[in-house]
Amino acid sequence: MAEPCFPLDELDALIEEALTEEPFLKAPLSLQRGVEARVRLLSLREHERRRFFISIFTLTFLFLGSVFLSGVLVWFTNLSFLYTDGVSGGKGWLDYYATAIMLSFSSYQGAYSLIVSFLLALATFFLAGALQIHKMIYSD
Amino acid sequence: MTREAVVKEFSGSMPDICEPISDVELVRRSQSGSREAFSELVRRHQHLVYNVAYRFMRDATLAEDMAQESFVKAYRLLKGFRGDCSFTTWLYRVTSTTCLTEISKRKRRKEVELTPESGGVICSTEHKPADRDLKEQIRRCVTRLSDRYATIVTLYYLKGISYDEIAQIMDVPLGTLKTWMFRARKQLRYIIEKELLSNG
Repeated sequence: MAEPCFPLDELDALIEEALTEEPFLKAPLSLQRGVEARVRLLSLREHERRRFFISIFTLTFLFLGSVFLSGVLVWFTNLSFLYTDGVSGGKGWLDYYATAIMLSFSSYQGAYSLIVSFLLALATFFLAGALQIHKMIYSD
Repeated sequence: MTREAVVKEFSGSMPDICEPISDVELVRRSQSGSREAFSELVRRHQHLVYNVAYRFMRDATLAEDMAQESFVKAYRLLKGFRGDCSFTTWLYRVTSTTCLTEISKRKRRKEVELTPESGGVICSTEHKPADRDLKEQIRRCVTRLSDRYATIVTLYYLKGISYDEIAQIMDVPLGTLKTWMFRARKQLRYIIEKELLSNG
């Protein structure tokens, strides 16, 4: 068996020397550029991911909401009354007001237009607010 | 070149206006989503991270990859950084973990390290290996220590890192760290002895 270069007694000193003397290297110039490019990609991916989840959440919420509302309406609707009398007959006061509005629609058109205008204004206000919040979330 | 000298030399390339901003402030801005603040952190710490990565990987290309990976990981984890320790300490921890994970993956995949033949330590009258090759061989043996021992030896010999800081990075008391250091040196000596003898 061949002898190693250094006697093993001197090994400790050699180890210490080898590890202490290791030069401190300069990082390559490409390192920072590479990190910045990857961080930019990461931010974009994160941004897209967030947008996707918000969109999916909103759409799911709207879909489930409309399904739920439709279900509630069908639940309270008396189909036989609807067929014979033209009103559902299962929704109590709601039926009463719905029928009253339908019967008197021609004489109260102005008032209904006013209510609808108010509702539209309110909806516009909320929509504008929601858009602003949306913009704040996605602004970098 | 010492760590301080390299950091000082490279810091000089940036405008003075950036100097007064502390790491804490830059971390806070990065946490708020400022990529510019994070770039400044990268600029300040790239040499340290690269050197830590190099000492684990022993290859310039791999070290650069690991340094990049560490910074990207740091960027992703930055929101969870509460400031219990300094950013540098935290970054050392991230870098060490990233490198050790990669080394474990490579070990699992049984990837063979391409060490040049000249790096051998066998003595013969015709081809006596250069002193620096033997030292490089010894440095490579550090990566064969167990994970925590490799980490503390690497960090200890990276100039400027104190025992206290290493204890903080490893999240252990100072006494435990000293015990680990003693055992790490013993284990390293054993590995190197075995390496030298098996090469003989």
